[in-house]
Amino acid sequence: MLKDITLGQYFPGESVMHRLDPRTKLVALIVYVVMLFVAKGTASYLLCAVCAAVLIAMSRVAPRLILKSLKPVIVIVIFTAVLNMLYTPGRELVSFWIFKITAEGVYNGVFMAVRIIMLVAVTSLLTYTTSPIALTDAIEHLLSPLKKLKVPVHEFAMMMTIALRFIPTLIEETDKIMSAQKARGADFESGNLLRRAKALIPVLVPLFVSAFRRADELAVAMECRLYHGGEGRTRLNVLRFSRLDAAAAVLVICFVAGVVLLNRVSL
Amino acid sequence: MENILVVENLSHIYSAGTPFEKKAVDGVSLSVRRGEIAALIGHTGSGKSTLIQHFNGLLRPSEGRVLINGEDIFESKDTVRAARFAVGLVFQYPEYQLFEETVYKDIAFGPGNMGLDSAEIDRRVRESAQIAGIAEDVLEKSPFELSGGQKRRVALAGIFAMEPEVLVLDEPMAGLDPAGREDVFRFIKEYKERHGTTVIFVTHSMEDAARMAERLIVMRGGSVMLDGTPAEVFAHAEELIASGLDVPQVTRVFMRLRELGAPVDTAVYTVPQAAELLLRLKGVR
Repeated sequence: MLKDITLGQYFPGESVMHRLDPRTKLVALIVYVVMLFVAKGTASYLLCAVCAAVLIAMSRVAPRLILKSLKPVIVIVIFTAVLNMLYTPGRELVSFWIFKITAEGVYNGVFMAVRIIMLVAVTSLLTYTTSPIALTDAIEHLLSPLKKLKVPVHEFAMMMTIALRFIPTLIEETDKIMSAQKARGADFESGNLLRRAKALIPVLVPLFVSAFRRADELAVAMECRLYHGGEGRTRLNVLRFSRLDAAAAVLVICFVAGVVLLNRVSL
Repeated sequence: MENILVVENLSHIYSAGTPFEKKAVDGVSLSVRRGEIAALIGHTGSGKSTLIQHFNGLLRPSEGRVLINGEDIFESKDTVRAARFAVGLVFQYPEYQLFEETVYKDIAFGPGNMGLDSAEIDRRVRESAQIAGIAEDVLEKSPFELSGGQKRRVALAGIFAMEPEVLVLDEPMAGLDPAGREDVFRFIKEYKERHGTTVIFVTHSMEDAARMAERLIVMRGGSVMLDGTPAEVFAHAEELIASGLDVPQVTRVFMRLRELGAPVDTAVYTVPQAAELLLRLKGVR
């Protein structure tokens, strides 16, 4: 049950998307998201969609997995689309009771839905092709100018790394404890809300106990290896921009230019 | 003797349909007779732990069936629940599942879920605490105050108190000191003798398996590689070693003796057996 969570899951691979520097990918993603909101009209949207499709194809991640990542947002997509359909003023198409659907509403609704879907698909593509460690490294690098303002960037990145690192461990542990309590006849599936909440106590207590134990052990292990924060720390895998990243940067610039141009065309 | 637990052609695939797809158990068939004590041996990742979680319906097989007393446990929700109580499963490091305020309440958790009345629960808690060597005054303590070995006993008692027909243990002796291992060994034996329970335990240690079980099931790569009495299994000592599994030290000694030309059998796996055989060889008996 808990194993079905795919959001933020990394699938190792050797594709172009996997080999790109995580900083490039992160910046490109931010640019892409911004452009999604800048884009106006069918032509620019089409360009965004084609880009998303090409990126997915290049990553060699199974399209089924991308679809799976969309599952949790379906409700939001439908909700936004319907709201847009009903509340956009304009030429009336159909009306019933207090609602009226306008042509502009349908248009807006569809675009909103497409926008959210592409946003989630491309974002999950980043987490599918980038290991959490690489991602936090990239964030630390990109935020490092803030160090001058005495923001503890390294500490935040380390906390994020550890948190990400322990998500699968804790999920596994939860699974194990749930199984152990199920073996003792615990029932998590029936009864009303209160009963179900109560049924979680036998899981949560051991889980917290073990989380604290793990945190303690990790702190000791880090101290044994003389961890003292970010100052003077060197890395095993130094992030380096390659020609691939330069190519990606050019493509991103082309994409931005393309969207801006197409925006004008359709206006 | 009748078969209490039958596994028919069981396979289990983890994360089916993702790049992480893995066949953990591959076409295993087994039958375990009532009152038998069997050891399940194999490497880490050979599918032992996955296999035993099918016995009480925690995992659903991708293929195949599990029968308890001749009935398919996956027939309905009720049969799965019945299997939970018929087969008591003790996980690896069971002390990490303790959660109650007192040892007594923790042992009573299983029987309580079975819907027994409080007099019966009380009887079972006290009896299983006694079998697992837990003193009366410990029952009112918090399980988190106890030592590792004591916690293990409490966790064992928690399953004993459910009085299952089949007791399945995943490495019940892992991480204990020799005295602790000996204790756990004794508790399981005593519990089995008192209730006539069928016992299946997973272990890495050939010594423990040889000493305790009357049947050994060796797993490799998700399938059963060897299945038989210790004598039958250790007769394949070379095969076991070739596949990276250990054999008891005495067996190794006898393999070496045979290499040196002594007319001995390698199906020797306990020290008393070995002594007997050597004495006979020397013509003392």
